[in-house]
Amino acid sequence: MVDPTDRDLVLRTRRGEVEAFGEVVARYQQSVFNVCFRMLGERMEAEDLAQETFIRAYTRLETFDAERPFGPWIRRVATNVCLNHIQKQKPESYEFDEERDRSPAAAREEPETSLQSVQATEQVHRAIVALPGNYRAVIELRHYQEMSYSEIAEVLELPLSDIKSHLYRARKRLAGLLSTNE
Amino acid sequence: MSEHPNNETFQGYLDDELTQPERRQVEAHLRICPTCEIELAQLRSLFHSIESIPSEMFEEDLVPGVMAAVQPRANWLPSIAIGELVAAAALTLALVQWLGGLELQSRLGGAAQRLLGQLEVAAVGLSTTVSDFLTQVPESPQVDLFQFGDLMGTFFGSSSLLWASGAIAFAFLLLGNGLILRTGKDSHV
Repeated sequence: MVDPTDRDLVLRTRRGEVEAFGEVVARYQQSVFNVCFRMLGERMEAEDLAQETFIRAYTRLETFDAERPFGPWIRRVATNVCLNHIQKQKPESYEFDEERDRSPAAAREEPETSLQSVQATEQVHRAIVALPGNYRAVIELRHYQEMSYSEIAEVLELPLSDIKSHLYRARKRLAGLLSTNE
Repeated sequence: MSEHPNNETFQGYLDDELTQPERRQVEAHLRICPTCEIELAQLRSLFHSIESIPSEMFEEDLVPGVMAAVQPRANWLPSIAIGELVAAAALTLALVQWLGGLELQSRLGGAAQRLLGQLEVAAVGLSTTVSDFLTQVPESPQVDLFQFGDLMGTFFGSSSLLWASGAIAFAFLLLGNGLILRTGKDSHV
């Protein structure tokens, strides 16, 4: 028997067949969890946010274009759920933190950078998690979800110029963080 | 391009976000500038590092938790608590009125009368509080169906209080058990 397509499952869910959504969750829980884990760096938190992602997706399923692939859409939802979560946790604004962006020396003083004993990939991950929420989101959407600048701008509902600026600063800060750990 | 492209331009180059003319300019410059070639290589290395994070194995199953949350009745869990709370308040009022109807107040003496009076005040206060709370709950259908505090104010002291309280208690019990409202959207999303 051929497995139903994502489109079939979404349409069945919309018709009120809630069980079909369970199959959607089973298919995408790994990739949604990956998004959350990359953005948050903590398993339990990532699991909670992955669950919240599916709940939110369910309530907004009517906004999904069933003719398009479901995977990118649910990963975008996950990114936004995580970003909202990060911003709720840390209400302070990083947007005006340009001094830190310019100064690698300042980056060296961050407590998150004491990573001497961890593996290289873990260092990268921890460096990403040490970034402000908006920066994490653009890194996730660009490098892992392979979106264009304009697609990222649409997902995050930010001007294109902000996306370019966030990406530039995020990478610059990552370079600073990683160079201090080499 | 004789000037060195800046880092942002190199990022756009690696992200494939430059126009064709811009791209050709960068490539032409790279052919004659070893310094920029090194800068680009470093940036490319950073990109590679960022993308090197391996996937984390996820061994849990989110299906039961998600399904419990998205079941239609699950959306009304807060309403169950609210509905039952309001029903309890309404039943208390009905009980107080019933006691008054039996003229027990006069038989029980001053202390009991004061107690019953306080019970009435507390019940009305409770109903008003619940009503105020309901007005703060987004998409709360109860607010539209019952302006509970006003209703209590209107009926309080009248002979129809017993029946009104009973009817309201019954209505909220139905609401609380999801017999009336089965659809609706989760207000937190």
